[in-house]
Amino acid sequence: MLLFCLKRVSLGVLIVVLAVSTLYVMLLSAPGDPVSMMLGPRSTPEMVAALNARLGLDQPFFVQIWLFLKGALTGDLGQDIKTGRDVFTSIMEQLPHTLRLVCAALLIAAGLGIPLGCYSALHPNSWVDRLSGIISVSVIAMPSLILAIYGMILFSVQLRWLPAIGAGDKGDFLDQLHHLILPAVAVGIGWVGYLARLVRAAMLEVMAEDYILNARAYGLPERWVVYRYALRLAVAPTITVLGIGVGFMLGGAVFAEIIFARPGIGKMMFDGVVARNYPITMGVVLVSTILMVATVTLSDIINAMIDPRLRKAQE
Amino acid sequence: MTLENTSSVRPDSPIVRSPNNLSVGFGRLLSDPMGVFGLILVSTLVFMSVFAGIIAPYDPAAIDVLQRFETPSWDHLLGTDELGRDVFSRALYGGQTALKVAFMATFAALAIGTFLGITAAYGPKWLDNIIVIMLDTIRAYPVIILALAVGPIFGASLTLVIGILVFTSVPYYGRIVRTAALSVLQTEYIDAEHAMGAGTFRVTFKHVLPNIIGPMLIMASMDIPVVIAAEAGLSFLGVGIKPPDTSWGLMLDQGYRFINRTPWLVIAAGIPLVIATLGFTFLGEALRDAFDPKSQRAR
Amino acid sequence: MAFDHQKPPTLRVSNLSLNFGPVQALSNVSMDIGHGRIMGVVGESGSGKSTLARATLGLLPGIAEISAGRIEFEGQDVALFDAADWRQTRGATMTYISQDPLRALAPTLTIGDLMTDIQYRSAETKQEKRAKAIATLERVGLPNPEQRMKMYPHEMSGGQRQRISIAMAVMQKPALLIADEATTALDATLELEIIGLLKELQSEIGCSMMFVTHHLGVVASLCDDVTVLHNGVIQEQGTVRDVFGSPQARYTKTLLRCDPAMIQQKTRRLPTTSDDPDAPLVIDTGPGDRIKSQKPPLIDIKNLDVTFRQKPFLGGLLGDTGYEINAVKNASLSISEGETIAVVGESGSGKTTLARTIVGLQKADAGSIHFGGQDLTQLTHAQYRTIRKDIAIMFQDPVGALSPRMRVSEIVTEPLVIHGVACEDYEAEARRLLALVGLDESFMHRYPHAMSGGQARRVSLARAIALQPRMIVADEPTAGLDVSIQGEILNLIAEIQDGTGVAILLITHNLNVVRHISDRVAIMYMGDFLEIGTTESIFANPKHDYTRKLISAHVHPDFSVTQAHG
Repeated sequence: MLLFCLKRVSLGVLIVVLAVSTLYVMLLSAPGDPVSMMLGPRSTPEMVAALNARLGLDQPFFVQIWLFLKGALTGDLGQDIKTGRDVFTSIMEQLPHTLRLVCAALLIAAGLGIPLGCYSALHPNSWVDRLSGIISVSVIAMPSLILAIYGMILFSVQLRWLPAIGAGDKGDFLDQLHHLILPAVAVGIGWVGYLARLVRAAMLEVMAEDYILNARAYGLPERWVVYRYALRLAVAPTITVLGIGVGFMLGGAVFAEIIFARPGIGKMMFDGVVARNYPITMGVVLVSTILMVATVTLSDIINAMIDPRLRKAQE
Repeated sequence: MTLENTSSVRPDSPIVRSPNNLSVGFGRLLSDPMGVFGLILVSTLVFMSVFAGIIAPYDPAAIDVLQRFETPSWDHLLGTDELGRDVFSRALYGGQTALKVAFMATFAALAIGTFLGITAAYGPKWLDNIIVIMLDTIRAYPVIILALAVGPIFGASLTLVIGILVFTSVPYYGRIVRTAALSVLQTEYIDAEHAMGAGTFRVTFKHVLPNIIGPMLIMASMDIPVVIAAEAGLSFLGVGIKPPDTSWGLMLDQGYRFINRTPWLVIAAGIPLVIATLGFTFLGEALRDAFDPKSQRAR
Repeated sequence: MAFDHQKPPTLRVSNLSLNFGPVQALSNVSMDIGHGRIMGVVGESGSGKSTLARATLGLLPGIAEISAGRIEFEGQDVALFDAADWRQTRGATMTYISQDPLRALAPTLTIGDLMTDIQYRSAETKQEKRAKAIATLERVGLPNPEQRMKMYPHEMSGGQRQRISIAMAVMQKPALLIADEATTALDATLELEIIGLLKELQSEIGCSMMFVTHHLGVVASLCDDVTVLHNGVIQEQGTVRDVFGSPQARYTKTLLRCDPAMIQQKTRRLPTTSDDPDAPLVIDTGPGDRIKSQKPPLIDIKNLDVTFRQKPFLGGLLGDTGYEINAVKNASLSISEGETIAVVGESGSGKTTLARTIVGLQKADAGSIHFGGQDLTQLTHAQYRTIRKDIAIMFQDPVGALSPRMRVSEIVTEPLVIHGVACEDYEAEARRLLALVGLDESFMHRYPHAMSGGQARRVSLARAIALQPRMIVADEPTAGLDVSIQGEILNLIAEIQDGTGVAILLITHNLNVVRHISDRVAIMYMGDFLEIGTTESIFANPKHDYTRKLISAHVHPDFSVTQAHG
């Protein structure tokens, strides 16, 4: 098991390195001179050269990437071009907000979706099942962008139940929660339906398996049969989907942050982009790539913990 | 497998074993209310977008400052925007953009993904491993953040949007094709084909591809609403379509800026997007259920 | 243990009729399982025997309806059981063993968990339960039981898993043990051991048993009584001695006749269901002396070695540890024109690998295969193509070996298309081939999934003979077929051979069929040929222990001589 974890994690690291390096190359081989674009129209050749040297942009790609990654390990991601602030610090300030949003969305999605799916599987063709089937498909369909905007119009502007802007006062947990509801729902609710259907399908398939019949043949209480025997296995595809879903929710979070004017790396990225702030861009990409790869790796590991057959993962 | 143990991004993808019969599948589709609903929405949408030139009552770029921020009326079915342009007409042309992007991006990603998937399945193990790592690396990029990173550098445009969407969709198709191809290649009837002396060409085109193509097309149809939504999102952020072209995302962005002046603009801008994603999702899900013999969805 | 007439029957089924929607699964079935008796429920697929077992357990699928009759367990009507009653019964006084232990044991729980779970009703401590589990595992012959408790089902072999299933069933000392095809998936030698184990355990515990199977030989050696079912209707019932010794019903007679194990002498034509069961058995010795050693060898295999190996990629970074398996070791065999030779071995013997190597699906690592003046192991993939016309293969899974998207008429003529053999009318040719294997017009446009196992086998055979090969490799041609159909397929193969003079290489684990239609037999064990000789000599004078074991495991000479019970 430990070996399995090690293998997965090292693979994850490899992927992150590859992804970030590739992006680095993509960004810096784009048309146009990045430095003069950064400095703006009033740059002189000397300034350009100086900035080039400072950013290490006159070195071959491999060296640049190596320096960047080395810096990343020690927490040095360069300085914000515009403000001169340390990128790492800036990102670490904003990241928790985004994480909070994504976690809340995840909780909503899993907290509502999994029980709903379970219930539907155990009571197939009940009105709950049918209704949730239709609603979940409809809600999956809506992009979180739309849900965020419409949600804001309905709940903030019209009904005034929930705040429209910001993340709430620092230190006031309830206020922050209040501000979190609408964005988290916008990002997570599409996944409720998706997860519910997934869990339902997986449960139905598992319940039809022989070992469930056998478990019943041994007279085991139904509650055990469902939760100890069936659910464990049905959960595997769900966990995998959640692992990947976090990545998508990250995208949804970017929209939510922009629309609700919340702090977070999405908003930071958006603003950074507007100003063509390379270090910020690379820093955010690094962080979000790590996040995505980490969640997928984690979900694989959790799955292997649940289902021992996966521990000997062969191709 | 590298980052995943189950077969695909969407583990509920069907690998159809039978029915072979197209008409059986379509019969089931038409008897499913969701499928019919989706079909109606989609065909209406496609029809109206394709014939936007004829149907649109106004020129989408026609500015009429006197008619700004009109609420929906018989004159302007979806109202007018901040420059007095008819939102309905703009929505129709935006539909053209959306469908264009969706189909082109999906088709390209499907083609590239299929090529990579088949190569990985057929080729030597080392090639397989390289392709899988490559696909997993692409999947590590969050789409929006990638777009925000690359967009300003390369300049926002239709091509960029399609490029990004194709790039990030390839792993989705690639993995599924690879898994499907691998599972078909391990069946006994493929062995029988080899034992009879069938060449790789024949096996691929007469046996492997036909058995994969059904699920692939269904996967593509389920991906279209995602791509439409993604394009709208990217245009909303300003890294996608730029004026004078229309896009639903762009309309949403404009509407959002004036949300305090009037919420109707952004609501109206969102309606076509909602219809499109709803319609395609319903259709895609219904297609999947119609052609999957193991489907147990409550009807 | 003597039959106690005083005690009421453990299970009494009275006039049970059961249907799945419009399909009548059981009609007016009555059966008594006496206290301490072993009842064999025998029938072919679709006979309703499994349904009867599940009905007794009360675990029928939702669409099942009992339209009439009653099942009484220990005197109580099970229809009156509520969930709590069933929880006290199932796994306690009535236990169940299913066919496939891999699918029967939940994969996410350790053996220890599984075995302590089922003891949840008792008030013992965890340690006591574990100790009981370990003791039972030891009793069923599982080595290192303490270690096994921490392992998972998929980490063990099929035989070990079945022993665990048995352990779980007997641990609670039930009154009735229901075994549904419990030995069907096992190799013959293992089956023998398991049957022995079951007999011992039954004696010790004194429980009654319902043993559902299609394998008559097992019933003969294990059971006291037997019930014969066909299409949900009881054909005959009684003690094994009576029913097998002097069968009364036509179906029973046919079943016994068609079981290849019942037939003592070698015959080219096995009896089938269409024969009159009362007529004397026709022994067809076939064209005598077909294989004289003067006939030149068609295929000469010398010192063949096939090893599967895979190196781990990136030093195992991706979870790939690589492996090396020597499937075929230094094997030599020669096959003459027109002869039928059987390679017999159990799972893991390498026989399938051998077959695949001969037809070019597997590369050999050493040795040679001489055919038609060439060494097949030296040929490139492209060169092999011409050989493929001369050697055809019929795969084990009849439906799976046919492309699911092609119609039968296309399937049987595909070899012609692949090899570019000119044909004026493909449809007519397809019809001709189908006629040769006994299938009529109506099969021309069917798809593989719409056919039964026997029909699909015939299609496979038709495809195999399309190019008039010189040898056909038949991989387990009778696997998965009901006994009555087995005879038909084997007769068909013999007919084709008589007509075309094709050589046949049979790959099988079933010695019974081998005895009748093959001229020579090669016993394969762990990749090596232990013995090769004519069928008669192998059966009469087996030289190796393993061969003897195989023979005794399969052949049940006389059904009337076995029982200690009345």
